[in-house]
Amino acid sequence: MSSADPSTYPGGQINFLYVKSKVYIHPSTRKQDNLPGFLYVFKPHPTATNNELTLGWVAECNVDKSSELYRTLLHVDSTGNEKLARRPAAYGSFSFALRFMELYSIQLRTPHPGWWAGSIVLNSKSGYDNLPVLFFHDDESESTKKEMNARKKNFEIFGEDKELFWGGSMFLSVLKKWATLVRTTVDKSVYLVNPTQDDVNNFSPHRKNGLSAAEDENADKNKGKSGSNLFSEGVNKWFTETKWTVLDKFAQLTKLTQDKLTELNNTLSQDPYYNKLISHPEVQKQLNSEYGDMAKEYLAHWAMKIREQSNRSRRIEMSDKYRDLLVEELGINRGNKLISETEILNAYEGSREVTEQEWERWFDSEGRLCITVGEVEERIFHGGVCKEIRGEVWLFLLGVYDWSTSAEDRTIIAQTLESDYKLLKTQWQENQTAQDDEYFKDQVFRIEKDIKRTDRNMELYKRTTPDEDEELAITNPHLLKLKDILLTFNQFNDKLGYVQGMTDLLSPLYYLYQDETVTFWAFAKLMDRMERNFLHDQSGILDQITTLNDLVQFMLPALYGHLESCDSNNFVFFFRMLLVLFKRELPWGTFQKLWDILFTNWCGSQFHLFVILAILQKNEWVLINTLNEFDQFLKFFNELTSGYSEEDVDEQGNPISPEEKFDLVDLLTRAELLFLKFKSMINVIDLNTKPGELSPISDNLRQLLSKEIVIKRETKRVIG
Amino acid sequence: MAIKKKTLLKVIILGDSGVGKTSLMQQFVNGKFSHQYKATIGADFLTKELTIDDKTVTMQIWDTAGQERFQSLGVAFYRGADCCVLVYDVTNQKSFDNISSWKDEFLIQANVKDPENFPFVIIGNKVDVDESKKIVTQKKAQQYAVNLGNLPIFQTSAKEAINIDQAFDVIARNALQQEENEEFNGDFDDAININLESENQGCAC
Ligand SMILES: Nc1nc2c(ncn2[C@@H]2O[C@H](COP(=O)(O)OP(=O)(O)OP(=O)(O)O)[C@@H](O)[C@H]2O)c(=O)[nH]1
Ligand SMILES: [Mg+2]
Repeated sequence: MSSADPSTYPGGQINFLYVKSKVYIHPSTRKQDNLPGFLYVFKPHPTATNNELTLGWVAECNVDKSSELYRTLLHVDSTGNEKLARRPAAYGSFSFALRFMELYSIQLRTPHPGWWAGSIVLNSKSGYDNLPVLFFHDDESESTKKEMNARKKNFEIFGEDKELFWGGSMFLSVLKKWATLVRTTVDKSVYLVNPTQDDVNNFSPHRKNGLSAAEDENADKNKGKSGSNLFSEGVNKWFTETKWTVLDKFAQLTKLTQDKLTELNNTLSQDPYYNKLISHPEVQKQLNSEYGDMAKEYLAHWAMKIREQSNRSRRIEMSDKYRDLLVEELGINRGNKLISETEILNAYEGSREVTEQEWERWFDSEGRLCITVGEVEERIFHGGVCKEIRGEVWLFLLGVYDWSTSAEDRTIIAQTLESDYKLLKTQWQENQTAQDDEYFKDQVFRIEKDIKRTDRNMELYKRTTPDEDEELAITNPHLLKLKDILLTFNQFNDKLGYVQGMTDLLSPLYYLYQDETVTFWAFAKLMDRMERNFLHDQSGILDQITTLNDLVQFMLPALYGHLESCDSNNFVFFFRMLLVLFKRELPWGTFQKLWDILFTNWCGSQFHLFVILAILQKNEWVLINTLNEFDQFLKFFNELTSGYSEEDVDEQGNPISPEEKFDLVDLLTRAELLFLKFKSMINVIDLNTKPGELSPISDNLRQLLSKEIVIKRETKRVIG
Repeated sequence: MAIKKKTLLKVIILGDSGVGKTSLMQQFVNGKFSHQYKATIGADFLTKELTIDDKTVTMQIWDTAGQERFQSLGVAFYRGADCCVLVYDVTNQKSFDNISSWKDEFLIQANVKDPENFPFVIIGNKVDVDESKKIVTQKKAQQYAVNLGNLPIFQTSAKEAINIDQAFDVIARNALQQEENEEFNGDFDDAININLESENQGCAC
């Protein structure tokens, strides 16, 4: 063919439209195997349609550095102008070239700076050619760095779709010039290339007719179809290709989860405080530099505080807006009948505590409850109780008194409990042989060592004289009562023995009653639900960590993926919160209120796991974007309330203005909405599980719906 | 080989509950002692910048709970440690007897590559107490440290700030030595490519 032929470029050349250098292939997990190369798009001849454009990759080592081709590739990359050259070899290490018409989809996997590079996964229509995953080493690509710097100057650090800007998103926006890209709702990281209507329907079920997926499913059922198109071949292929289980994808399919990251980015970028923070020159310096881990943590906390603040002001100033935002952020579709409007509204009632008068109105003249237990639980769950009645309320919630009793019954019960306690106590106190026992002596040592370190900042538990020598003997009478209670508890439960953390559970109860017998029985009841935390083999607490793991995987898959990629999905950083129910993390009055709520079992007896889930959900953006190592996560959660010092407690042990310190109300609202969402997701899944089919919901997860407390006891006495 | 931005020395403090691990860490990092420290639950760490000879390093000190049953958590915290400090209470014989089991447990859980040469430092704490209360004599302890592999040993008081800086100086030097050894041996088995910027053939910049 002659060079004058208008249907070819001179000299059999092709026209490079786009080139990106330093796009790598990682053939193994070893860094030294990484292969840099050029990603390119070319037009094969002047009259070629967009469908005939070719996308390809060639390894650097397969391009002769002295060749015209090499210079052209660099030129197009750095200038963005098209240029003619010879076609690169389509053979050699991992090279490939594919026409647009053969391209099926592109998946974008965002980078985690300092940890891993962003990458794209290409899929061809035939599905046979094993296309390599392409990694964008943005820090090495001159053209990407240039673009990033330009954007930083204009504070456009997020790309078009409000996601972090990187080489892959740049590639995508270039691609849009020549191809129609449709983002799937099945997996928001996946874009279909020039898709057919069928493809769109399969991967974006909601686009079809605006129905929620759940309603879709029902519609299918009604028509007598077996299964649903959502689980058609194509989708199934996707499921097996991604590491997420069907379950996690299902969560996304039901549209109950929206792209939270985008939402949060949106929220934050509209947030005046956050923008102020980001544009501050010092912060910019930090962000641009390889800021150290400390700076990262600091920023994370900072961002969290700011969010807290602006959430609060949002709640006060425009409560409707706040509600909409929260519902949206949690991906709860309001039109969706799975969660009723009433339920949603109830969840926002969390700020009104039960007063003394209200509490009294619930009982008749004989002191018998005259409303239902369910009503009581629901009411207390939404707001807790005021401190004047807390002691009494807990006796009911913990089960020292049954709700059906009259005032007279309770007087009798109290007398029995008094004598029962005395009896237990004399069993060791007036028994020298018992006290000479090695086990007993070891228990005394352990208990004394810990009561000396329990809430000593509280007026009640302070040293009697500042320079008292407690090595000799403890003299604070209240601490001595704690010791007696714990020793008597060993008499009552002769297997468990004292375990660290138990004084943290006991001290708030004693503080409330300041009566040895009542405190003892409240503690014994509390230990019914808490004993599993203290078992010698740690099985009870590990169970909860496992459940939490399942729950986060199910409800917050993006965050879970991040934690997993940072080798931090073992969730041990929640150990302390779990062991003593947030006693160490929250100021005194705040954890007491949280305990009011937890003790009702209204949203299951393990609602504390949803509180942790809410903490994660609320901080998802900062966690994903600023932290990436185990020790950073640990520090973040250990210091959730950093800046709240012990001195913020007044004489009565009430924190000074708790709302100023920790937004418990917001957290509880989230936790409840998450619970409701969880419940409805389980419902949807159950509806779609055919009889005889194994349910994809683990027993651990299902148990979260139960109001029965989980009791697990030590089976034999073990020292240590 | 990976070039680290900053040298981070990870130090783990172990020992029975109540020997004074938290107090030692606080005294070293914040220079204070309080009777209001709580029993440790789970784990926490503090960091401190140090200069060893003319090298600036960051020491990350991990404080864990002492009760026996919580030891199984160690797996999550001990990984990547550069030095382990074994603490006993000079007024408590049992805490001294347990030193070697803390050492063994650490080696198992931290999955140390070269256990023979991993640095340990022993600390006998609370030497401020009345002579009459001291049960573990210095002589006995010193002999024991020799038997355990010639480990450095210090008698300290977190309360009166006795010997704290001296002990931590040796801890830091041992940790640094360990860190440098490890770096020299190279560890390329990481499943994920970390530190992309630090080592690429043919970097264009
Ligand atoms: N006299 C004296 N008492 C000390 C010293 N160090 C700690 N203590 C006391 O010993 C008790 C235990 O101290 P911690 O530092 O909490 O002990 P720990 O080893 O961290 O204990 P766990 O957290 O339970 O594992 C506290 O009552 C301290 O006040 C010391 O140097 N001298
Ligand atoms: Mg401690």
